[in-house]
Amino acid sequence: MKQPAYIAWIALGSGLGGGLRYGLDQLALGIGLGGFPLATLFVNLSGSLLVGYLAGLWATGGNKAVALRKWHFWVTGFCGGYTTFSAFSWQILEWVQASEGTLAGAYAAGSIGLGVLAVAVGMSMALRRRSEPPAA
Amino acid sequence: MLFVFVMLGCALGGVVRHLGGGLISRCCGERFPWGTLAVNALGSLLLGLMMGAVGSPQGDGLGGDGMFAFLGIGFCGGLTTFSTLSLQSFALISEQAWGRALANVLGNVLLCLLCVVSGYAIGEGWAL
Repeated sequence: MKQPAYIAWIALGSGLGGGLRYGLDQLALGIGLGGFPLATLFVNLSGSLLVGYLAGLWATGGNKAVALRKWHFWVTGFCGGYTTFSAFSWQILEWVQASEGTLAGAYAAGSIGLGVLAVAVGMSMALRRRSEPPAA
Repeated sequence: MLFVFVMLGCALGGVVRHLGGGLISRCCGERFPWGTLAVNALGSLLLGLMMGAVGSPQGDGLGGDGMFAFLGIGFCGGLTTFSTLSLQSFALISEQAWGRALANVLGNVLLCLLCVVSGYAIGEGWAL
């Protein structure tokens, strides 16, 4: 695929992912859950689940030419823009500054541990779906 | 309107992540996900700089103004990624490359924390 075309798919996916992340952040603020830690944890874990599912669905086999555009839009673009590491780092810094080292460590370890687990769950969902006979 | 700023910033951040991360991966090899580490570190540094320079929006959360929506939530959020980090860590664990998996996880958390702290300290120096 030509360079400009796939750049456009990444930009579109990332823009939509970021918009959804912001929307959920505002929603969490609106219903009194607080925007930062919980909303960021939620987007990071749900984005990891989705990326695992998509990788399981597309990473091996299938039509590469078709999958590449979808990969750029959904994986690089959407999941990449939807999830964030900068807000995650900032949250940890805030807790470290407030001498909440244990909370900071638990949040970091929990996010990453559950993120990897979410990828595994997503991937096994995809593999189960792929092994099912196609619907008539 | 802030929504549009976030989306534009995030679209731009995602493209820079792909191009910059891809460049780093080609230079440093694919054995370790250097590209993701680099964009996460850069995005954390930028967010720290911004928080230090303009002061962190307290109380009502983030997204008080358009500039922060575009650069902080949008660009830095789109430049950095958690999903790819999870996927790559999972891949390293699947390969039973325990050392690299641990280095990837700890490297991202610790380097990005260092970057956000340094960025914040530098940014505070800029603030008037």
